[in-house]
Amino acid sequence: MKDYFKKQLDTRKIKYGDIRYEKNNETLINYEGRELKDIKETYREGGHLRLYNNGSKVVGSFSEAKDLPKTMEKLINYSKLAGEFQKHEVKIKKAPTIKDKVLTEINNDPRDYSLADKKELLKKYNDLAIKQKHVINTKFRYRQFYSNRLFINSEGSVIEYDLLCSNIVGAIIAKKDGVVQVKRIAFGGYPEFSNLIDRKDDILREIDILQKMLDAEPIKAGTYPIVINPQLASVFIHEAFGHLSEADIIKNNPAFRKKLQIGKEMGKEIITVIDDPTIKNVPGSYIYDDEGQEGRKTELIKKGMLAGRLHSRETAYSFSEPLSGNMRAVDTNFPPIIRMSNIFINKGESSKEEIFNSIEDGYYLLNGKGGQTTGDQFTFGAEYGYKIKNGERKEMVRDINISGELFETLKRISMVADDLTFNEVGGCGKGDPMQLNMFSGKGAPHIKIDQANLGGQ
Amino acid sequence: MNKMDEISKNFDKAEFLKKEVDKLKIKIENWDLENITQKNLVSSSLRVIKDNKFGSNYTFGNSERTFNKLIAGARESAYYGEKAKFDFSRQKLNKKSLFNKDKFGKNDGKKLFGFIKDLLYYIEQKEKDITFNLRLNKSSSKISLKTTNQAELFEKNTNYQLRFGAPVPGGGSQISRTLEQDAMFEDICIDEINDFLQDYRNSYETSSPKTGNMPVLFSPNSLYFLFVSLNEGVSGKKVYQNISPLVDKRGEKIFSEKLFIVDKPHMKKSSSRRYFDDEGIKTDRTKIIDEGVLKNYIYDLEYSEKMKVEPTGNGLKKALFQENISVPVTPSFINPVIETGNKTKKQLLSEIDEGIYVTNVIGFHSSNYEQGHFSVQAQGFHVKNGILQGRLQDVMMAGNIYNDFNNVIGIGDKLYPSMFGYAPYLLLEKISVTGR
Repeated sequence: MKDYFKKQLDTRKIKYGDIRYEKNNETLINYEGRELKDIKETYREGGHLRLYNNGSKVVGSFSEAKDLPKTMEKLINYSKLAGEFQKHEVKIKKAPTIKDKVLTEINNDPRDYSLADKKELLKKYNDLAIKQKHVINTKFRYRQFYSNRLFINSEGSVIEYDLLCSNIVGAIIAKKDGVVQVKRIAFGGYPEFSNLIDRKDDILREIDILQKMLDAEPIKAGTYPIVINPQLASVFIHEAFGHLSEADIIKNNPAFRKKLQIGKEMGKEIITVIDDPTIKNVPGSYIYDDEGQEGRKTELIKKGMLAGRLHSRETAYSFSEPLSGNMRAVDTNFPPIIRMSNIFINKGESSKEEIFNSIEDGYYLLNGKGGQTTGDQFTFGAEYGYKIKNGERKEMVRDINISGELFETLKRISMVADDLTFNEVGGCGKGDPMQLNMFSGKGAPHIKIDQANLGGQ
Repeated sequence: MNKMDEISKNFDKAEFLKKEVDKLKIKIENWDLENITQKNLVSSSLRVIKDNKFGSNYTFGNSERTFNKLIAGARESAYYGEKAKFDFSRQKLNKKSLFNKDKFGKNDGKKLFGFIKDLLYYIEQKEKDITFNLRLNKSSSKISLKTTNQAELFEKNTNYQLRFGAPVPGGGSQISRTLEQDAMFEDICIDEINDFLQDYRNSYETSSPKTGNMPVLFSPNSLYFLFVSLNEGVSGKKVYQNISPLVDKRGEKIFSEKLFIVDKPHMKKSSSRRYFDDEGIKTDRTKIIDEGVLKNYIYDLEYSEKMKVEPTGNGLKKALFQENISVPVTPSFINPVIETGNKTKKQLLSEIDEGIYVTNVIGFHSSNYEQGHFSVQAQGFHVKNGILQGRLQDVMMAGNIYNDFNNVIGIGDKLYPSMFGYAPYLLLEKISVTGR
């Protein structure tokens, strides 16, 4: 297959081309309530072709290797047409030619367990949750994804690599006196399957919180100082800042390119934000991205100043900045786009107690439940929270959303704790249509934001 | 041996769904071509019953190898699966003839670029300093479904979708418009461009109302959060599971009597249009809300069987942010439409003494939307005496659709695509807004 793909690239007069061919195996098991809704092991394959030709970029997906010549022909024709229309030639940064084969090596491989074993494990967790007081429904899902990828480009790179993960995510839904609340759980096997075993106590702990959420009052909308826990702080840095550090988001937005120049003051000296695919055993770890580049650690904010951003070869050329190796594709349906690997706020020097003690009247908010950004505007939800009065954690609150403008909010981060923690399960939505990437990690310590806009009921 | 014969040989009963999609997308960013995307993809799903147990599988690709793996996976799925709870379709339908023979069917690249050039030229003459973005999609699909119950259904669709917009001054959120048709656009939609430019020119300044309850004018684009929440409410699955807030509410008034919401799967210009669902059940116009009264729930095969009612042709492979072959079937609107009223956007704005005009909502899925709650960032404009004062900044809006949509003041006279379904402009009497 390598020779066939190479020949397709070599025999055409194209400026630059690359092919990514994937063979993907996915295992899915879903419980809803007491019912097993879905159990399957799937296989799919296909390819993606990218050409930089006649000054333009044209990309296409194909279902089978034999369809490649037809796709190539179409794309070359589109590039000719586009060339007449293109105002500025699209160029890519020079990059090393790489020939390598890197396959995952782990101790506890999910592929060594039978479908029956995985079903049994998920059923055990689901059964435990569904029998608890006030629980009216559950959704438990096991997902295992293995992608074997071959990358070949017209410059001579040939890389075989893979991605592997397994995870269990669940939503437990409880109802009491007309109030419905949802508690999410997430256990990640990135890549070790053993992380998913023996988690009963974690489920019971989450259900205990859920029971309390049913009796909590909705938060009162307004502006408050807040402490957010590592899970929620990591969602904040991913959603609000991380996406703006992806150069394709701002490449063609002159106002943001001006706002986000390297060296710009983004926040106080205590803030350092890093993206790093080389950290082991977290969701966004990889050696090579889907553009044939080595994944590298990138300091995005260093001591409060904008220090770097995430790039493709195209944006690295456009910004005259170093390559970072952040081009990732969810599967062959899509071209790679710039995505965070493992983004995190680096640990600070304050203790959690010191942060609490600094707040007279505010909130402690925990765990993200989804977020969305457009430009510099963000909104994300917190699963639950607590009132803080004179440094002490008080009554629980629920139905919490936080919104704001990134640049102002970053400047309002006044304390960073020393307890950096990574989320077990990865996830990121980006693109049009939305592409959900499960190999995207995030982490943070507790942080304090002096003033946050909270929406409630 | 053909594929259905091979499937019949392996299973007691089976349903084979195949989707072939041919897509072309031209993307312009800041006036220049960003890229062209071409997709030719085949995906298939197989649902089976073997030894009275249910199984399923899916794959991409059309080779013998992927087909064999599809069958093997479905066999394993049924082996571990639970008792089958419903039977597959027996219906027949052929909608080949509806395939659009529009004049841009061939040699479309050149024609599409010509259209884009005209549109860019028009806008450049009017407002050359904006950061103008555009995306033009052409999508052709062939969908076929066969079952061992002799169901045989086929449809072809072609759609064109145009989305254009610009980030507000300073580069933040985007003001945009979306249009779609079943044939290539005949002209460059001057009315919509001018309306977009008018909104854009009002976004230079920021202005936010004081916190309180106030009238809210929703743009069609922003109303997708209503459709998503209502979809959860009327889903036969959520009703069966007793999670929906609309359990036992059929026949009751849940919204303003001014609201009529209908699922219109055959709406010609909609890119969501379907003549049968992903289970081979013919789709049909379904009244959901009539004068504010809940008329119907929507069902797929599984939940129609569980609730002993007829399926409504709403079984789609669709989830909140995903619609593809890998997603299990669930009851979903195909093309929900809020019926138009008789007021222009200008008339609706003129009815606001002080309030907001919302062009987009951010973060609705972080709220408990299954129960109708919303707590979102409102993007749009502050309105005083019918005049836009400037774009909103740091404004949130919270409530519950089953309370707030009881107070509709007026409805626009024209339909536009929302991110999900179609809607006119809609003016509500009051919503809780957190502003200054």
